[in-house]
Amino acid sequence: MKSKIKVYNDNHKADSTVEIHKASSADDNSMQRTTKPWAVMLVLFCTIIMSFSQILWKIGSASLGLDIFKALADLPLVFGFLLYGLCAVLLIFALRGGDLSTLYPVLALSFVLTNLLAWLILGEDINLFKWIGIFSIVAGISFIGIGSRNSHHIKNRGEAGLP
Amino acid sequence: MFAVLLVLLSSVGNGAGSVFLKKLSFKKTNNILSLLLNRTFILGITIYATAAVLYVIALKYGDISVLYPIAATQYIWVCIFAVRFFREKINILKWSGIIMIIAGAVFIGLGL
Repeated sequence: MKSKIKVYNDNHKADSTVEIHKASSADDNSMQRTTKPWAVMLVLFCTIIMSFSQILWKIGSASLGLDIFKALADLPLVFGFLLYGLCAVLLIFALRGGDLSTLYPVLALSFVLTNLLAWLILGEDINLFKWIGIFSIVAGISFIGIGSRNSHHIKNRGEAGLP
Repeated sequence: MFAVLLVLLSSVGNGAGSVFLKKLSFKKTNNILSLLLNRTFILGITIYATAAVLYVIALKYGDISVLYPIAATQYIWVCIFAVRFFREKINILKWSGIIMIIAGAVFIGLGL
């Protein structure tokens, strides 16, 4: 069963790592396979779009019933979904610059941004619990960032046979 | 309970949708049309859209403070899928980051 599932990877393949290694061991370019900064920026941009779409959902869903046709005529809701779709397209390009498990969690910043936007646009207040949550999410994303850099670094050193 | 199930389904759907997007990102073409008219994209965006619709419906019927942390479990699913399908390495730092994100969602839920 395991062999039936195709594994997609860009440069994690055993045969390609050898080549990468020859190139990287000379100048110790351990950043070769880490997340690209532009990819993070693009995901951040997606996060902003996503937060706006969530605000639009919230505005739209207030008047939402079970009537599908009414939902389709609900402009904030439809516009929110369109923004969400745009976000998915941008993500395809963003994911070219790094691991899915590193870049995708950056989208969790939408929890933070949505709260800030709800504060600015909808006038909801941010209490202590929300602040703790916001800091926890930001810290978590930082951990993932540090973790991804760390794993690549250790992996590269190990392959190069360095201590 | 019904809403909880919907959000759980939606978060798994988000994770699965992102797998399709990642798969597409390996294509070297920059032609947006050929990317959008791809079977992988159509499948991925359908899963994504369904997940979003389920989420909006759930928000209407469930308590948001319960639903937020469950929605945040999507980052666990994404990591599991990333390991399964793309052989990505996830170390203890990354897993603790995921746990912190979910904890953050719990706190934001409590504050709502």
